Amino acid sequence: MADVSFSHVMKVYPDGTRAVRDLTLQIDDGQLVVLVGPSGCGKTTVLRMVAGLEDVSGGDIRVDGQVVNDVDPSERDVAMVFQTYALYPHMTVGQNIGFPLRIAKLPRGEQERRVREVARLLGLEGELNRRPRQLSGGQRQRVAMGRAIVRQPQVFLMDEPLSNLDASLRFQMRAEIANLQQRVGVTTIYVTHDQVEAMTIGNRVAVMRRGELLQFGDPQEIYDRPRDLFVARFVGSPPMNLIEGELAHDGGYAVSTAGRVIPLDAAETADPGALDPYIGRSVVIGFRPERLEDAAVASDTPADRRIGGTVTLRETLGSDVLVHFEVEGSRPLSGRVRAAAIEAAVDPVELEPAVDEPGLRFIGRFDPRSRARQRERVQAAIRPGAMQLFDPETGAAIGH
Amino acid sequence: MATGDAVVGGRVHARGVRLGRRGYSWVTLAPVLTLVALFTLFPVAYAAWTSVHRHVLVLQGRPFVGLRNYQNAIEDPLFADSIKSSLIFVAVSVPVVTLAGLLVALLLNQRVRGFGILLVLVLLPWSIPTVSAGITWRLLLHGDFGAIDGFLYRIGAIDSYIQWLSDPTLAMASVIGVHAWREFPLPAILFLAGLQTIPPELSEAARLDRASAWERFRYVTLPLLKGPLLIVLVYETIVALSVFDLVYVLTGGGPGSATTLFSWFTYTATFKYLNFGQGAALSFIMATVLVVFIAVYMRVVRLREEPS
Amino acid sequence: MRRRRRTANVLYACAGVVVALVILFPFLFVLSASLQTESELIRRPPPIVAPQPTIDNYRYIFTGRVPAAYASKELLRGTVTKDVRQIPTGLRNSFIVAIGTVLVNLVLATLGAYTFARERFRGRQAAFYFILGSRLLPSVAVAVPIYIGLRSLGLLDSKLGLVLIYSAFTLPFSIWVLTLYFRSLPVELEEAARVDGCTRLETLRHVVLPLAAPGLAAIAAFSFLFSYSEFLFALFTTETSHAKTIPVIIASVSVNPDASYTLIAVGIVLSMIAPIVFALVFRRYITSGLVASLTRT
Repeated sequence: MADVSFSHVMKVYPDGTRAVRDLTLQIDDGQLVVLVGPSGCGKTTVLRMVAGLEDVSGGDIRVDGQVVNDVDPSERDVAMVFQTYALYPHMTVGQNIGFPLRIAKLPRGEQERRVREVARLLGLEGELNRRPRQLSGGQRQRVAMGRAIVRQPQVFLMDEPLSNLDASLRFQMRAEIANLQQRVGVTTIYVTHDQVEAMTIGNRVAVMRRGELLQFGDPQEIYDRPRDLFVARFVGSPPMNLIEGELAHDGGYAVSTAGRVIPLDAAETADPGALDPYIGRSVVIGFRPERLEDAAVASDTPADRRIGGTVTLRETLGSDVLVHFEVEGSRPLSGRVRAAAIEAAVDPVELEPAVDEPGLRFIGRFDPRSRARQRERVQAAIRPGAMQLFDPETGAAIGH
Repeated sequence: MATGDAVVGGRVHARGVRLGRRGYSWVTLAPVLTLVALFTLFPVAYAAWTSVHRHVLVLQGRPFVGLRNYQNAIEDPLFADSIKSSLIFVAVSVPVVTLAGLLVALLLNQRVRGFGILLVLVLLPWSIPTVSAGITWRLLLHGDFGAIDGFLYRIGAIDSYIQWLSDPTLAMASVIGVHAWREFPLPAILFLAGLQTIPPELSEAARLDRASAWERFRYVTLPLLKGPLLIVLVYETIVALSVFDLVYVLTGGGPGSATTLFSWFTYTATFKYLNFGQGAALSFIMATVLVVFIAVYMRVVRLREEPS
Repeated sequence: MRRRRRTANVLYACAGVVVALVILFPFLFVLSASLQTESELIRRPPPIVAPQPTIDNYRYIFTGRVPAAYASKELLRGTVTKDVRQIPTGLRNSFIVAIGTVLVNLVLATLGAYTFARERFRGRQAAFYFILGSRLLPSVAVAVPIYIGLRSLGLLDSKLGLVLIYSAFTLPFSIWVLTLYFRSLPVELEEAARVDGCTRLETLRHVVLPLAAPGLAAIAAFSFLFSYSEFLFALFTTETSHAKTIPVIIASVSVNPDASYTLIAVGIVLSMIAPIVFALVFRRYITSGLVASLTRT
């Protein structure tokens, strides 16, 4: 049982690339922490540093209180599940799972007992004598997990274990992994680029970008109170809508954007000290698709908290309807904030920007009763507390 | 999952000697490096040392003689002769070997049935001991009872048996020929590998563009073989400069000094007269020349490194 | 169009036959010669196919029973030399030395190549190129000092001395080929092994070597072929039947003016058996090893 702590950890490659910058993070014993972020953000590097497969350029990594920077990977008490599973092709499933025990020179009987137990736990009993190449993707994944579990290590490390599985299998395995971790209770660091996976699996989530840790907290907190525009946009599907506007104060706070003035409600102005410096200046306003509703359906909402435009696409989900619409008079975002907004909205499967130019087009997740149709006008009502403001230069959330 | 079990994993059991990354690397390399250094660095250094002393086995004393050994060696008429012979040998045999290898590779690249067997056969001349090949060909080229002469005579190509190994020019040609017979499999294999990496679409496209076979070869195949070609040329040159076994069994350096290649000359100078000082001088000269070629070879291979 | 293809194929096939003949003819001839008697062979032109194949020559070499054909004619009796009776010893010595070299290669080259392939340390490039460059030095250039060195170690005329020399000459190539091969294996398997608790050597043993069999086969074949066929060093470091290898013996027999050609032929045939078998069995690995080593770093 161990906690893992990072103290100003850095990783710089010989060519000067900074893969990880000043990471300070505390992972408590028994927790499942997800490191999530777009590719290249340094999450896998962090994982590999814990495993000992990468050197630490600066700072300390501690496992159970001991600094492990210089400890050989074979001596750290961590187990890792690789993205490609890294199963030994020349060994059977049973031998793969039992390999760490064999190296540790456990008595034969004990080795066999543990392997059988793990196999039973993962539903692999029938495969023990087969070779990895004879197994399906899901089975291989489980063998990889089995090899990690059988050692009863202090820390589990998982490097995108589900990314090579198809969607339905991924869904199933997500739950199994979360379950397993709960039962076994081993501190786990889990890396993924899929924010849905991160939110559903983890006790706590660490969002990273370009080597930096942007926010660390439990999933709900990250969703409700993102500290950064990138985090806000990264988490949640479809991604948060962003629009540029100006903060004004005329009896009450309001934002003016796209030709209208929308008042901010009490929840959105909880911290006037943070808001005041921005009066009269531009801000980026974000509101999640699920906090929008077709005004025709939610007719009880205040008339001034509306934003409207022309529908470009309507996607029926069954439980909801995704309505894409363009707002006239909206301006695209600019500079670094725009780059962050685009990067955060990359579709994890297609690895392409999933939505159009941020700031111009919006998505609302409406009640299926909405009659919004392509090429027609729609008015979206903004639910209370939906708007979050961000600094247009740094992307930092205003009011946190 | 059973809890409270003993902790498995690195911490519990002792590991052997803790070496650290650098220590480990050098320890595993030590035997190899020592062995290689002993048999390359040391000998070359020793050869350099010996070459500036008088070291004749039957004489006492090893006085320092400066560059006298080198002087004697260079002034020996055989020295110039052997260099000339070696140069001729290299100048002729390298292209011959390369061309033979290329032709065979081109042939093997055609998908004709039964060529699988040919692929197997191609390795044979290269795999047997050079002396065995040399002696065999000496029998075949025998001036009185050789099968080659017999065959040529039988089909009327010649009207008297040719003394392959007694005529100076023919002897050199024979050595080159046997050397080619033995060496061609290597370039053949390399070229074949190179040819097989050329996507067939390229020559198909050329064919559609109405290119003749020769044009296809010249504009599509050949440019893509430049890499292996360069490597083969440099490598075979190094090999050609080192030829010894063949000379020993085929001609003994003769007739006269017609096939006294430089390595043969070094050998006789050293062991026939037991003048190790002079032999060392010659060895050192040879080593130096070859180091140049080796360096070139290294450069070529590094430049041609395929992106992985 | 198809007719042109057909004639092309026929031409290729003919060319193929020619090439095959050029390659095979010497082998076939020497085999046939070994099965003849001297009187049959020494004539103009010599027969290509043995008129009355006999294994008497082989029997003489292995058992000392003089072939019947020679026992009668006084003249030819002189050509039955005792030299050739050393051939079986030579074969044995060659084989032992070659196997010894293979073993040294398998152990040392594996260790060294794995280090070159996966470790990063200062001086790695230098050490690597040093080892590689050494293999191209010709034997003659280093012959004398090595001779003197062996003499001082008391290793002249010994199989061990030969194994040492041959190892020094074959290790560079083996290391080169194996390093390339190890690098081509997915490094994740080794990472998994390290995390699972393996030291580097354990990783090598349990994970890398089982997967590197083709590379190992290639270097075993190369080192065997080299050591078996090597001539120069065997020539001047060996003196007695303790260590004389087959190339030395057949070379000395062949320069003996009294030796019967048929017996020489037997020596040649016998000297080619082991290398040919090795080359055939390991040909795929030899080919890929050759290509990889000469065209990549």
